[in-house]
Amino acid sequence: MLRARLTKRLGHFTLDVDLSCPAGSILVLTGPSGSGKTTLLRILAGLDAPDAGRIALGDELWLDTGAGLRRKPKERGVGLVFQEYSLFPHMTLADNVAYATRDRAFGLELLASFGIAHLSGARPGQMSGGERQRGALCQALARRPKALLLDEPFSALDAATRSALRQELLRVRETFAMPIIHVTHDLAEAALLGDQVLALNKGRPDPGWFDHQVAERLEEESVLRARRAPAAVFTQPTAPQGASL
Amino acid sequence: MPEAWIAAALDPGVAFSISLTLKVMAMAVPLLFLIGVPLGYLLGRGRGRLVAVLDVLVSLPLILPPMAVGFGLLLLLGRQGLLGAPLERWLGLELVFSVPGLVLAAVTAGMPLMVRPVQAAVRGELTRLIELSSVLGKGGTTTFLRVVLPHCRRSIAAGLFLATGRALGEVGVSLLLGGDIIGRTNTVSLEIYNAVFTGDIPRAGVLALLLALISVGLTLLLKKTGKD
Repeated sequence: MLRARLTKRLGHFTLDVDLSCPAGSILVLTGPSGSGKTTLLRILAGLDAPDAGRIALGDELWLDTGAGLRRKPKERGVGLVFQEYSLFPHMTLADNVAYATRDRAFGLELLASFGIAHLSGARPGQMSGGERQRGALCQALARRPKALLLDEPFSALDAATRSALRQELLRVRETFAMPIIHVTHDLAEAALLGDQVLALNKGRPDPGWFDHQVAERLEEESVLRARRAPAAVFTQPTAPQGASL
Repeated sequence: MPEAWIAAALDPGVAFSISLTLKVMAMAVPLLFLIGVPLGYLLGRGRGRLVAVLDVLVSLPLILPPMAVGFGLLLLLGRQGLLGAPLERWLGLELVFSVPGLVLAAVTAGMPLMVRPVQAAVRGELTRLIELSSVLGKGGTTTFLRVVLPHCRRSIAAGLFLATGRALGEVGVSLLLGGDIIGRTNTVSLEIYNAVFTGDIPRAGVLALLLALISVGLTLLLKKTGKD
């Protein structure tokens, strides 16, 4: 179980969060742009420091500002995937994965399980967006992380690739049984992947925001369906008069 | 006419200037790399007043006339200088009017051109890659050697070629720190100045041609670095 309780002053609001994510589950962080989602993820990874707080993974304490404890990113053992630049551009895919682990065989096994073993010798610049993000997931998983942190990893991908990668992530959840925290703006993704959804608004949890966004989206879709309906009538083949069906 | 040029090319004095310049560059180029890369990294990623002051100091040889830079260094490192006096007294190190003075002149002149490309390269996406490396469990040294250096290799190579070209052609700082002592500190650039001053045009021509050829070679290498 990953538990975090922290505060950090961010411009004109304060990030103030208390979250817990059990092993083998996905906590989706969503909310409007600039609400503190990425900052929260960076604090969990150890890349940013909160003003006050405590973060623990099971019995392992990563941060306790009261006790003056702050473990470095390299000591936390997390996997992190960004939207971009999650692979080193000067290394081949195999070298990228090997950079994260001494167990080269496990790295190759991961590449095979994500269907990208044939790209082992390719550099990120020679790969498609979906292949790069699959590779980034392999790199993050190669060191057998204790928790996986994903910062909008699928947002720059097309719908079909996004959908395939969501399925891969669900498979990762089952296989690795660790806490996964996934930042996304995509409401469908949040609903599909999240065992829990935490919507942040100006740094604070706002459960109403997600419900409101979903309701708005449903309303938009119903309007679109209604507008499309007459066109559908005109394209239907009409039966000749007097013909019986 | 060609005989005079051939004779100039075979003159032992010319050979001495060339070998002295090669010796100076053999020391200056590694120093440019060893100091310039970490300095460019610090200036590109560091914050604070010290970094701002260093940034200005590194730019000075580009902004100030070389004679003024040389004069400043002479005052600082000369026998009575603020640093020169203790260096000579305690370490027995004489920097001015010697080969180390010429090396210092070459490093000073080339440093801004070495540092600037590295400084530009370590901003932007490299920040994300350094963070990624630390999350993957790597320390500062591994990250620097396996991520920062390979990622910036083209900028480092470009900086090194430009700095080498600039250091080779250095006259002003070398004149004041090296003293242009014939048979001791007259590098190729200084020897061109001496030859023109004494009307020995073939000697100046041969040495200028040599520097021009090296500069063309460095320019071609620079272009190749950009294309790779």
